[in-house]
Amino acid sequence: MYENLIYETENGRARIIMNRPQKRNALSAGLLRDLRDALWEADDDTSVHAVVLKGAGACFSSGHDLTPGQETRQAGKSYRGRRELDDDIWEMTQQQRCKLTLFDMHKPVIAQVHGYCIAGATDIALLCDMVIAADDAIFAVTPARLMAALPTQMWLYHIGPQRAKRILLTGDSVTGKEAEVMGLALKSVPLDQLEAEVEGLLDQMAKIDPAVLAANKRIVNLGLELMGARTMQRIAVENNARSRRTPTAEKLGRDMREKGLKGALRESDGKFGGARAK
Amino acid sequence: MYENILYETENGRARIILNRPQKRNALSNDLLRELQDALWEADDDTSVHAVVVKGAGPCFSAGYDLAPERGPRRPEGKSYRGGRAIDDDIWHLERAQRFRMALFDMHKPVIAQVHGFCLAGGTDIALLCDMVIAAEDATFAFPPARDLGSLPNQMWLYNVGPQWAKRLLLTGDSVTGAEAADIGLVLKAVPSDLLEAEVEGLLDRMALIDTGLLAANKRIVNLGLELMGARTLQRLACENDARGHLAPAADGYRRSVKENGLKETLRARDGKFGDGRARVRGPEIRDKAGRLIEA
Repeated sequence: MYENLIYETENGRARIIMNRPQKRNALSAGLLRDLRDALWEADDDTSVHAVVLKGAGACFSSGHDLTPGQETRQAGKSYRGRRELDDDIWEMTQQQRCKLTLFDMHKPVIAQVHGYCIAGATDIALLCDMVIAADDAIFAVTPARLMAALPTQMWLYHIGPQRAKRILLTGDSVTGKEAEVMGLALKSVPLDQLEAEVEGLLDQMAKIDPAVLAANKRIVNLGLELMGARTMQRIAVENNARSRRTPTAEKLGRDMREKGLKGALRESDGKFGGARAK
Repeated sequence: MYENILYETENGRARIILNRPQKRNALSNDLLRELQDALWEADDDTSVHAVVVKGAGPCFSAGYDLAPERGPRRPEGKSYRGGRAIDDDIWHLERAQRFRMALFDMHKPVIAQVHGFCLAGGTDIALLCDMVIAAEDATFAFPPARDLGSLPNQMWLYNVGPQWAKRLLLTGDSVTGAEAADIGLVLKAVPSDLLEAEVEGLLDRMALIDTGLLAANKRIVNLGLELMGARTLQRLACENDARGHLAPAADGYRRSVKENGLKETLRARDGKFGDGRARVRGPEIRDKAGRLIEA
């Protein structure tokens, strides 16, 4: 039913497992559409009280898919490209609508993060209601260095302006343990106890009427909306499109076409050394 | 003058003591109305620089009074709003909220001095205060999140951010005073035998400052909260709570209270959650009875 993820329900919970391990669960448009559909399915299914979102294989997700295959499109018709600013914004907004399901749905979602949670993956994790991470998980927005500002902006609401800027203005990474201290994650635990921690929390929520869960989720999200969080997401998409028109972003685009993705990124990230924030 | 609270002024401070210890300082409408009157009295009295709110007996407050005695204080022959229709429910919730909002709206600072339980409605009061100072072994939680609704005030978000707010409000699980300080739900936690000295020491310092200056500095922070939507969010919190009251689980709760009594209903509800505790740092490993054990 879903090509890019595994969906299962059991004991009052739904589990959504992003399942492109060979591409480190890179977020293609197709995966994001599957994610949207699975989330609304879980939100509608009365046996589900809460949802966990996690990644198959070595990590949660390494971010947006920078080398997506060609989307299949109807022959003989012309569709929006990605060169024009408005087309760019239009396409990123399509993807954002999928992500915002996490925020809009009534039931709570926990992000269970192990390994990498990079760039676009942080968009998804931070739209979840809670993030529980392995101590050695890695959170970072590497594209902040050359390519783009994120098309979703929830960092401010989780960790405040100074810490958000420390990460977003350098692309430096923090561990799961540090993410807990900053408030980026609710909590971090040793990797071998991560699943038990998340499932234990799902056990608790499975005892509560989904309508009561919804009331308590939505009043907090309403508070975020009153702080501008929903309008902020629309502006984040436009800001993302603008950032991808800087000279460094355009040079990276050229390098990618000439040297391939890996070569281009090696050259650019090399300058930042180990690049960890502490 | 007051039946449900004690009120005293001394050395530049007012002390308001919630005083229904036999009911763990459950917040009845009468108590909330008296709290409001005492707060405005202190705000008007030029000898007062700052206020402390605390509880008599073993705790700060166990929350809203779920078994209030209905007083016959209404005129014969008149009909007033019941509690069944959603608009009536919202109306009652808003009236009680207006009493509490004096904490936020008054010009002088208020410290909540929390020992023992600070549950549900007790947290509404504490978090509307300007600072919360707690005993390390105090208990903060919103257990009615398990079957009844959501809180009719929502200040958690501004103090602990969205993730911890949801962790606690989506489970009804509790944290200690020390853990509450760790996540920013309270300003500070100290050993319970030093709690009063800590709060009075802070009141000593504010008693040195002109009340006009205290007001300017309190109000600019609260204005910032209002610009983040904090005042509109309170109105929505009442409507959202009323919505929670319509959940099937809330019907079950009311039926069970009628059939089995309040104590048994709460025991059955909270029993399912083991010790009902969240752990702020380190893995939550539970035994078969749902009690946290050391990692």
